[in-house]
Amino acid sequence: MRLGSFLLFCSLLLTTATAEAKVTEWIVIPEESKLTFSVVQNHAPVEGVFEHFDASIHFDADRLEESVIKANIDMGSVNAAYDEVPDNLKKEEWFFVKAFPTAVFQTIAIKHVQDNQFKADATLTLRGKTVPVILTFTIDISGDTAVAHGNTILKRTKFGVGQGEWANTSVVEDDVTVDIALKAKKVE
Amino acid sequence: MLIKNTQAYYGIIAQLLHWLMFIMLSAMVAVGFIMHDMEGPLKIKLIGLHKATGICILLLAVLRLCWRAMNVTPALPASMPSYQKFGAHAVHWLLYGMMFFLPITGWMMSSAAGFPVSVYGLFTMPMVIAPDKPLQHMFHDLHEIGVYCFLVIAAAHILAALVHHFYNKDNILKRMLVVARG
Repeated sequence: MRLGSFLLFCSLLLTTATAEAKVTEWIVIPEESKLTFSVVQNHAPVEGVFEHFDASIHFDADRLEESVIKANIDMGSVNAAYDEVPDNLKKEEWFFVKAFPTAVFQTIAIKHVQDNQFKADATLTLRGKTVPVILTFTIDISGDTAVAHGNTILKRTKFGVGQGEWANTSVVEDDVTVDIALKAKKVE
Repeated sequence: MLIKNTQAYYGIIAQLLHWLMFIMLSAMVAVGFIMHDMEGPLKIKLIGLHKATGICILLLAVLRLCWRAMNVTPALPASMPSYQKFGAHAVHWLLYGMMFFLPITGWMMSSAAGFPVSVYGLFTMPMVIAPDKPLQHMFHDLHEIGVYCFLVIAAAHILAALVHHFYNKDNILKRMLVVARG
């Protein structure tokens, strides 16, 4: 009898403990989120967008060690003002969408910088290569809605984006600026 | 040496502006046709140079008009029949028109395609139109049709100058080629 109550007590303790250990999960609102990139070509910035991506966000400013942000980007959803840009980017010399349809971004450690600013050490797997990246972002939470703005600068050649004659970074530069604007709702 | 124009001759400045424009436009037409069907990073590079030079032509055209306004324009020979005089003036104004029309349509096409025009990396032209696919196609067509029109007008201009020089044996070509003394 005593053992039974003790075991029941332990299991109750465990369940409450695990329930409290869950870091806040957030669901991205796609219509109010945007993933864009910009690269300098002929001394001028050319912009593009990835229209489809999904993210799994577990984030709590008070529990950064347990917070994880993961995103899957549909590389085939790339688009730009000029049709030839996405047409070429999907080809083998660039994104090679046929072989590598999805890019995966995952944070390893998130640090608080100051106020609403954070910095995440992360990895990005794109065109089959995994490279460490740093994402700096701000998060503003009001009620159960979070608005985040993040950005990072990638070196396209590290991912093999731009093969053969396109590896030359004098025409299309190496640095690619990626900007993410997210609106997410807390999962209750 | 004649710096400014007289009733009889073009001064050295007008001549330099004229021949510089001739060289630049010829190069632009050649590169335009060549790069159009190319592929690869060299094409991108040539497009960049073509756009930068196009803006320089636009600026040069403005300079030419200003200089023309500040100068007397040498009169056409009295012996020239009035229909030829009309043709000459029409061709000259059409050529000035093309010096503006071609760079401007190119710049608009680039803006509508989301490519800001950088002048050799020194400065970037404003994006006067927001990215727009129908406008891209429209300015692309205007730019290409413009080039063909320009070639016809330029051919008429060059042919007329040569006919006047070799057939009529008048001063028409000389006054744009010979550096006269003041």
